Amino acid sequence: MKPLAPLEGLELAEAASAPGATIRTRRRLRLSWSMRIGLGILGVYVTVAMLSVFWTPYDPLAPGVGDSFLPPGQDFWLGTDRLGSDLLSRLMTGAQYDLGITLVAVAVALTLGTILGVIAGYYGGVVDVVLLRGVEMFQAFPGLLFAMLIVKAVGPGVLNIIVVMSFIGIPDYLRLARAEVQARRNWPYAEAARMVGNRAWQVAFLHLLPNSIGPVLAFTSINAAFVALITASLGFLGLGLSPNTPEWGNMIARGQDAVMTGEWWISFFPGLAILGMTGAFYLLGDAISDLTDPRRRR
Amino acid sequence: MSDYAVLQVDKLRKIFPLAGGRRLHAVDGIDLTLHAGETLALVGESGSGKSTVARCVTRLIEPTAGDVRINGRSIRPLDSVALASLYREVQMVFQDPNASLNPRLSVRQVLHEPLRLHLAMPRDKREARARALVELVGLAPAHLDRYPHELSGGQRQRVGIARAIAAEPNLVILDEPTASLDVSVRGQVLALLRRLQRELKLAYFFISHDLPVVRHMADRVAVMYLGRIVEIGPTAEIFERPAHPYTRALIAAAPIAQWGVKRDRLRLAGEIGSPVDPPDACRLVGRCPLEQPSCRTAEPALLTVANGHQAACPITLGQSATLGQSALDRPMPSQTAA
Repeated sequence: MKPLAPLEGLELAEAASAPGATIRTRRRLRLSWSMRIGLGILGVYVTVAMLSVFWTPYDPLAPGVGDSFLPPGQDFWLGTDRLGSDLLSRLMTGAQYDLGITLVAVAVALTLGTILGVIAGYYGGVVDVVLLRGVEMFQAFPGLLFAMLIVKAVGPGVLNIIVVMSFIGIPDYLRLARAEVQARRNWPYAEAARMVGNRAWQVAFLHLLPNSIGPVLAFTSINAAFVALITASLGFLGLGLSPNTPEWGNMIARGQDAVMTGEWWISFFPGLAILGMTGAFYLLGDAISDLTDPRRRR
Repeated sequence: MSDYAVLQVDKLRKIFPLAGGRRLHAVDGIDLTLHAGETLALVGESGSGKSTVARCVTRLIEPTAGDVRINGRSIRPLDSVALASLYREVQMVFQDPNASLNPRLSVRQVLHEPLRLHLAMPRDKREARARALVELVGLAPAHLDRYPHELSGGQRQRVGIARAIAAEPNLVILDEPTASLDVSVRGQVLALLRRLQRELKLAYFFISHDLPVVRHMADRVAVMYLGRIVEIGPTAEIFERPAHPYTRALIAAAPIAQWGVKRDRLRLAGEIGSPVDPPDACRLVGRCPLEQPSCRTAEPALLTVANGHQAACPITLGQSATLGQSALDRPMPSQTAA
């Protein structure tokens, strides 16, 4: 028998019985569930959005494919609206708009905001002050009001909405990345990185950024939920896209009168779609914040 | 050991402006010379400015005034590109290996970086050299795949040392390299550093508050107090015939595991003073048992005690015209009596 074996066993037993170990295991399990559910729901949305490009049960833009105000049933699973358009087809196509706008806007805001934030945090001084004051001007307005003003000014359209949504997100990413980088700027590993021959930008983007990105990435899903809501709100207010566009906010607006007369499904299903998407983003955010901690890797 | 000066520090000063126009004199005009292959220790309490010196000397922070020459080249005017190339010649081992290793980089990545950036080695050569480096510092090639959090404190510091010597500098700044290590691995790391110094002909600028370690490692010692060098000389001289009251107190405060050694029991009153807006006086004023009125009128300069040994205390050196007598009262440090 190897003399080391019992010792190894003892260590394992101790590690397993330590209170910290059980808590961590339980926590990881819970988080991996929120990750699975979040990804699962988003997977459905992405699939539906892609499917709707090639196939929907009926033409989502065509009125009168059925009678007006048909309740959910065999021919029209989610019913029809006032114009007799198929709600399911419209809902599926809406995923292209709401999910597409959200993902692109978040990606743009994440990229630009993080780059600016790393620059502000690492270089400090005048650069920092200028960038920070700059974004504070945007943040002085509430997000929805700001979006309404800009969309009103530049006009409706998918591209315009994406640009506006990105702009609203940038300040938050900038602040988060800046704070994280600033906290690490004078850490010995940043000094060590300079001494092994890295230039300042390499230290900032190759050494500090990867260690600072966790909270920023976790924020993307919260930001995504926010962008999805504001996009739908603009649609609801009739500011985002042309009225017949099957965007979920638009669809809720179109059904709001009908709710009073009992045709609840026209607004209900788009609302459910928005809820599901934002919920999935929040779940993911929770999970990502944990994944990006390097001490949890392996 | 030759007389070639690897590091020359000339009237180095680092002043941090504080709120309200006050100024913190972290490093207040120090001169040092470090020769090739030599170990010069810089000792002092926390807050004496040791680490600030290390960072100014490598321009990790910008000095306020003075000049630093590394291998004869002044580092003050260097732009960022030239500075990067300077770091081929001077490297640093940091105090806390936990904080000085990027948690996202494996040991392999840590060691490849200086080889790629400083020496522009192709990948296969870097890998061969990385393997040689880990073995040189007493780790196994298997450690190359590990991340910092998978290593012990001693192993991490070995990685830090391997990184420092990777690009073959001739000057390594050791910023309290063993202060955050367990006593059990401290000796191993020190032995490693000595071996590397011999094999690679390194000059060490050794920053420490640990006197027994300094005595073991250093050829010469500089004692720092509140941003000033108060005494400098060969290690044996400093430990056996300390001239400055601060040095004497520092040595008296260190434990000695030896029976029957009579000790110089000079003690200082109070805590380390403030480096904010220091007056033009000896910085030990108010703490020193040998204090005289003249101590408060001017900042004492370094005076020669013996060959290569200088101290900034005219009182103990008997060089003050009126106060020569007090130096004779000074009890002889008696390490030699053992």
